[in-house]
Amino acid sequence: MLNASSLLPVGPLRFDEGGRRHLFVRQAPQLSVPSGPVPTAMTTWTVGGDSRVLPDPSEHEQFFRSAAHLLDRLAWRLATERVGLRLYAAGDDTFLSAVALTGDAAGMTGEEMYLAPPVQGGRRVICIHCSTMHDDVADEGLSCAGCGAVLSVRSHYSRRIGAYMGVAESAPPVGTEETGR
Amino acid sequence: MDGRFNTDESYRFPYAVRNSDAAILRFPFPFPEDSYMYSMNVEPHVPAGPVASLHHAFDIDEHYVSECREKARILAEDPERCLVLPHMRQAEWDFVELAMDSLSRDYPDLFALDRDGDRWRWTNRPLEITQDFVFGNAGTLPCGPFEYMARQMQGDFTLQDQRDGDLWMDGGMVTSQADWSLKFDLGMSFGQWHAPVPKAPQMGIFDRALRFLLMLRHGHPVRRLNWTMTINPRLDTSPENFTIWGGDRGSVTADNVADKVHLRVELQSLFRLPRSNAILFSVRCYLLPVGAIARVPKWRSRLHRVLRDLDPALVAYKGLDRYLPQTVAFLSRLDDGAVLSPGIQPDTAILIAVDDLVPR
Amino acid sequence: MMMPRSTGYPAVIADVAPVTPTLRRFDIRATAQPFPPVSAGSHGVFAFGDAVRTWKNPYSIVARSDDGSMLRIIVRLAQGSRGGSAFLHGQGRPGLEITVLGIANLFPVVRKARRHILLSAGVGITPFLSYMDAMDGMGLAYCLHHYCRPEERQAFHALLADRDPGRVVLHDDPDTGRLSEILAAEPVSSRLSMCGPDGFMNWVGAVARDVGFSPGKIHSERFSAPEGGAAFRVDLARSGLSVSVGPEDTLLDALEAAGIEAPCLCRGGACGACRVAVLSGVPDHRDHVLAEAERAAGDCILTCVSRARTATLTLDL
Ligand code: FES
Repeated sequence: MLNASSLLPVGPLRFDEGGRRHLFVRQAPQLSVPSGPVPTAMTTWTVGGDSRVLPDPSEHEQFFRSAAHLLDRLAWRLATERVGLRLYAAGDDTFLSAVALTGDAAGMTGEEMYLAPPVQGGRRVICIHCSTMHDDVADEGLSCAGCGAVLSVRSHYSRRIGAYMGVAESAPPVGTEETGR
Repeated sequence: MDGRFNTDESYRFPYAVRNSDAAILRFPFPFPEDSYMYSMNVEPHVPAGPVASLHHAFDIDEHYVSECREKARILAEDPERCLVLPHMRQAEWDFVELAMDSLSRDYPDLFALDRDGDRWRWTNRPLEITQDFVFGNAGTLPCGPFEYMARQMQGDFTLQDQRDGDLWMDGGMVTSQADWSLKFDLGMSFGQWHAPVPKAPQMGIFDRALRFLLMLRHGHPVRRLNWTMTINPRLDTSPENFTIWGGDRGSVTADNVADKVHLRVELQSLFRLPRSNAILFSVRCYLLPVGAIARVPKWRSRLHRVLRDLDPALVAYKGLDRYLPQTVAFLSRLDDGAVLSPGIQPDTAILIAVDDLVPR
Repeated sequence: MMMPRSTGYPAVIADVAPVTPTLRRFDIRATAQPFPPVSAGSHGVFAFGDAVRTWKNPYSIVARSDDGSMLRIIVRLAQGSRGGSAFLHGQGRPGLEITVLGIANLFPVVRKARRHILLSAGVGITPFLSYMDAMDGMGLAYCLHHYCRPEERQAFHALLADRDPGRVVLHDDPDTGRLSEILAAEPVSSRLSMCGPDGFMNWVGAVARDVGFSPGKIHSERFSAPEGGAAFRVDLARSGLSVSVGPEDTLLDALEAAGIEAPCLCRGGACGACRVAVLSGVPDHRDHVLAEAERAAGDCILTCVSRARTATLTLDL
């Protein structure tokens, strides 16, 4: 049956036996690794939140200074990666959006990327009127930081943009156009 | 099409759009029965049908010049209304060929295409364009091939790539849409871009529709009519500009309902493109005020019955709730209760004069 | 058997040339309107025959001339075959009339992917001849690995002579270790497309999954040649007609000859368009579309290739 949803597919992480190499990226050290027997060719990348750390390629777990640092290296790694990789990600909505974008750009498909349910409730929302991006939006509505529009968040997610749609649809004043121009 | 265009129309405030009697009679009225249920209602897109707007691959009417001008203005305000992903380049040329072939065949007095191998000359008389170019060489056109041609046509167009057993909206030009955004939906699969449509029972419909479209054959296009309502003759009812048009929905009164409330019909036609195996969705928007619909006795009675009995969930989804009561009240006074013929044809060649639109 | 109500493109064979002892190339010239543009991976359904019978067979379209006057196909002569392909090998000379009934694409290039690895064996090379032309035009990276018998090597070498030698590799030895190395070296973005006999595709598919290709990135097209079998009868529940299917006829041909509007697209058990509900009797499934559960349920049949295990079938037509 057709899956008529545009939301990022998330679910509990499990190692995919079809993969030959496995890379788990996480936004914090306490996020748990995928379940199931741990494959031998498995690497974990963890955001350390510390400007002094350096990823050590000889280790099974490597630490990165920030999520941005990790995502940057992820794009480089995927650009030279061979077939057989499976990518797993855990973190908040913003982190997962960015991982999915990076994987998509490298030509990976949904069968090769697995995303854990986001760790916080907050979502990433783009203002459809002015393109201002808002991270970690916990509610169904917000005021756009760019144009001031009072946005409601639609249950519609763009993987290409990496955000939900925010639209000022809570009944704007009558006849805006006639009076506004 | 007799080549006379309403060249001075405005699709934004202050609005100025006229519909001749002929334009009213060729309107693709979407209700074949007195009640409405969502369905796929797909039929072959052949040059025939109960109203003249269905008789061409791409319909050109008296609003052509004004609509193209409005489209150009929207694109200047927001260039992201036209986006095509790079892997759709061949589909762009497929579109150019289909559009130029169809328009020059269907309207030889308005358009001409001269082909000499891959050296083509395109003539668009209403917009006063003559363009020599090399088919397949984008550098010989002033902009991308899809954008070049879509600017010269009424309505919206999207290009769907077919891969992995799905259709992906990987390009389009969208300036007259019913509340959806191309820049947001670009790159989505069939299921993803339909996600905002409510009602789980309809999922079966989308499933069947996708399977049907994956098998769509070149040379066998199909069409369907979809509808909603819009306040004022406004083509651009996009989410991007909701801040500008959304408030109009609260502006309807008993005095202005006939002129303000428009039935908005989308003639959706779908074509398999032969070089790219992509599918073109053509979504041509027709706007007619209920006051003009009221000049066709069959249509006003049927529209009254459809709107009166509409499923409240659909009323909410289409955003009609703020002006539906006024519209139904206006039409109810004009519905004499007579039994109406099935089908969408107007059943008349002569319109009721505006002055005679007195309640029964 | 009568020709069907002929829509489609009338044409004649313009030129015939051997490719290998079992493969023959046919250039087909349109005699009325030109052929439409054709996307890479498309097949046409070609109708041809003699006074005795007509075949309607699907073949991959290798190329279309820019002006639309010509289509090229390559046809394999199966061992012991008495079907349409054998007829073309025997009687397919310049001047023979052929109608192109329809063109469709069940094996389109995944244009969004930047890198493609193509694997073929024998006549399975035909869709990839059009793929490579299209990919050259779109600037996509690809490599073709073609498997053939040692004695055919020369012939395929000649067929591929004008291709970029860096993108085409001939193999006359199906070496699993070597294939595994080739596939494992592909970048993560790579899409794998394969075409050839079932045994070949099963082999490639298994090696590909073993090096970690995800199932959705393994693309194939499987056509079945309709093979004859015991004669049977179908009763049509809606129209009340009875139609008998001879040992050499397909069910679809027999329905069409009886004037029934039966759905179809590929005529090779590859698309599912010809699916019809079975109300009674047991179908003999020979297609590549139905899932195992659908086969077992036995309540539908693909009329273009499948037959009956029982003497009669009742169809919802
Ligand atoms: S026509 Fe395609 S499976 Fe029968």
